[in-house]
Amino acid sequence: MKGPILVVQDLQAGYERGAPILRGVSFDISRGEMLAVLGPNGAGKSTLIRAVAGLVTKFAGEVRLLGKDITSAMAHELVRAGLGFVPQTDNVFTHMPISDNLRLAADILPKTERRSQIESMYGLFPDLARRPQLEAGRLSGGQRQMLAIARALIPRPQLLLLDEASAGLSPKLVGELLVKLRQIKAQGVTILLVEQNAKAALGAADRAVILNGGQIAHEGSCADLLRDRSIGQLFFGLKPKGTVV
Amino acid sequence: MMLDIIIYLAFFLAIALSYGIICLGLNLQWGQTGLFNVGVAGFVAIGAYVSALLTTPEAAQRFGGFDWPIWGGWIAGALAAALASVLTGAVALRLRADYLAISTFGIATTIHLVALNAESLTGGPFGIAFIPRLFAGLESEPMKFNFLNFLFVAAISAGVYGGLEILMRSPWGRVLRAIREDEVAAVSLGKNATSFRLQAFALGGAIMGLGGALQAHLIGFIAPENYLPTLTFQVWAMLIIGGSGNNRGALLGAVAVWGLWSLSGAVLSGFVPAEHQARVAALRIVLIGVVLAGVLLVRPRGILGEKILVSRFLRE
Amino acid sequence: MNLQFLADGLVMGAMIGLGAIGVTLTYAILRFANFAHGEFIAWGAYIALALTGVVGAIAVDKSSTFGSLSFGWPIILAAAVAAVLTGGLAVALDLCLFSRLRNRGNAIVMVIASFGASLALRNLLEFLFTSQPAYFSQKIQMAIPIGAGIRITPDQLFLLGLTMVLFILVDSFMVHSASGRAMRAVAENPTLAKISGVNVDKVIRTTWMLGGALACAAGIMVGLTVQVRPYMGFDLLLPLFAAAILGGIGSVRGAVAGGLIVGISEALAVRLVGADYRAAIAFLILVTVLMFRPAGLFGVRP
Repeated sequence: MKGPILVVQDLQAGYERGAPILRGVSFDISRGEMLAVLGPNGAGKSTLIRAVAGLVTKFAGEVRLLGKDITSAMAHELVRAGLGFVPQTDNVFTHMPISDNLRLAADILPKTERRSQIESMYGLFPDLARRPQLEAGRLSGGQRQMLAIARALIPRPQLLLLDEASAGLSPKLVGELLVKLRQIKAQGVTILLVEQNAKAALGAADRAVILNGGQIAHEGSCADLLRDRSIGQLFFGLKPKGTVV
Repeated sequence: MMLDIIIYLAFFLAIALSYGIICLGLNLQWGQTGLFNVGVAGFVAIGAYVSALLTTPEAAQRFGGFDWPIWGGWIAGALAAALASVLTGAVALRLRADYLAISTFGIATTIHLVALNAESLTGGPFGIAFIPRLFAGLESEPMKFNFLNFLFVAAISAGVYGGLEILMRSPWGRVLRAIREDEVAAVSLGKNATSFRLQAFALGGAIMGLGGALQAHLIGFIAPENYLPTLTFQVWAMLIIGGSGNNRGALLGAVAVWGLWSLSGAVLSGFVPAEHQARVAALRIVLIGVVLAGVLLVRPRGILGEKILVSRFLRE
Repeated sequence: MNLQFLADGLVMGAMIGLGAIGVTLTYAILRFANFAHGEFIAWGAYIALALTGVVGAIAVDKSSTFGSLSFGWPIILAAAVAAVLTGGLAVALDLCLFSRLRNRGNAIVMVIASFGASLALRNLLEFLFTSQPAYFSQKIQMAIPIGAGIRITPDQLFLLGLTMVLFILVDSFMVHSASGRAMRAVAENPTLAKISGVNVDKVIRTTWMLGGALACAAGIMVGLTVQVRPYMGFDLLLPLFAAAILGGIGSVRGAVAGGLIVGISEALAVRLVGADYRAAIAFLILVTVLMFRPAGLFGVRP
């Protein structure tokens, strides 16, 4: 279909009514692109992605996925609607084996497709195929991240949301993660990436929005943003040169 | 007729206030310290039995016959309940809230079992009779007797209430509040949270024991069936309906719930033929259960409570 | 030493295990200790008793029983219907009471409410049926010696076998079925379960349904082997909690193992020190577990 895969309009959301963390956010994501959401700590990046995923109360505004209004949809309904979400922490079932983590995700698919989807995840993440009976809690940080992404990919989402997927990973693993994400993107999945590691994100994504104080401060292609020096100001709250304190 | 009503009212209020004292003890444990004690009946039983055993005259085949004065029995009852609370607390207080609930429930069950079976100690299912009553000499003048008993109980509850209010405003009370509000900060200031909680638990238990002893001497007779989980539930209902976290709420709730209980009992014996009374009596308990559920759903802070107290355990 | 306690303990333990499965699942998935679970056992037994009466009144061949068992078709039919109804009772209780208190984020309130519900439900039974014990059958069963000095009635033997079958079915359900996976997921991490596509409300309903049905089975078993009375479930509460905590909250296998251990321990204690303090055994086990290994045998969370 034509048109953006995700439309967010004037979104206000938060954990307590009266103290919204997102104070009117609007942006689009086009089909097949990788969009990074950047910004300093406390800007509301996590809240934004969790609000889209149906985990944070939306006070005002609208969210449309594939043209459908999902503003008041429940989190589990969104999975069927084509949304996949990889949270930052607690993103695998540590007391279940790898195979059960994947089987759970596959349960919403028709019976005939479950086996093949799980197999294709083992193909995409060969590390997981080695010992599928291993409890997910025994996996290393990087392997856990892979499992978390695999879990989100099984229901064939059209839009994949990742909350600080690089957190806690070594630079080498971050690199591998981004390679995987490009592979996933190549298979037609649109990706929304919330990231603290701005440099890595800008290197991998197509476009980025910068969030600050619950609102969008800047938007543009990653190539442009990498060249723009005033970005530092937005990230670290530095005053622009020449201002009187 | 009017006289009878006043006499009954005096008696009713005396019993209600004795429950109020027990409720004050529970409020110290739950409202002020956040400890979830589902074994209230057990500590009340200890206070009642210890006081009864020490003050009753000799009875055949049963431990006792010490003939202590009433006030001696009460002090001993409260101390015994405090001791039981310390023992319980040492083991159970560090457990999470619902495990504490199950443990205290188990303790009360065990205490009831002992009261029921250890006949040579507690009189078994027959209980203990001839417990000396206050102002015993005046029993033939019901007006004076009941009125004096009521005044006495009212004085004691006022004393416990006043004492607790002063305590909560004292340095000790401030530390307790600090532990409840922000345990990490309190501990970092060198306060031993566990020790304070144990003290609060023990004091609360002592007050419950005192209430139990008081009741024993008001009525003159106790039996294991007085200390079933129904009692625990009644006291909890009193605290929640009156307003948990609030000493006035504890007393008000006691009078309100005891009033509801007595009223339903009066209606029962008035309208229901004798052969059905036992089974319809069960409906009174259903009524209290439903009222409590209703309060929890509609106005969880009860009549006088300011806000729902969130136990420290719940910040998980 | 006479090994009779093993037979008695296994039978009792099987019944405790059935009830403990419901307790452990409710605890793990709904995150509170449900003091009303005993009442599902009692209500299940009474519903089955009432239905047996109804079926017996309608059935033509009233005297049919299976072989040397004390029951026949009426009870089997009544049991199946009663299990569904008891599951429904549990779902209804959740709907009226627990679900509305859940969102307050205050687990203690749930326990207080469950305590109140337990009192109300139990006393409602007493009002409806009086406190006199009732029985499924008036026939006296002869205990058959099966060796090693152990005697067991045909009913007990059958029910023991049936419970083992039920345990295997439930375990299989938890491990291999999609619903079971969903339940395990919600027990571990409800948010992650949601974003994996799990309908948490549906899982909660299933939990109550399953717990209630198994409690009903336990109640019928107790009714057949001992008697039916309003306090039958409440008197099992401590053993149920002890079994669930001993086995490890959230573990079905743990609940079964815990139940058997509690049952056998109680029977052994009765053999050694008499029946008066039987109820204290479960309490002792509970305190020991909480003091030394709160996570239990198979548990994951302390």
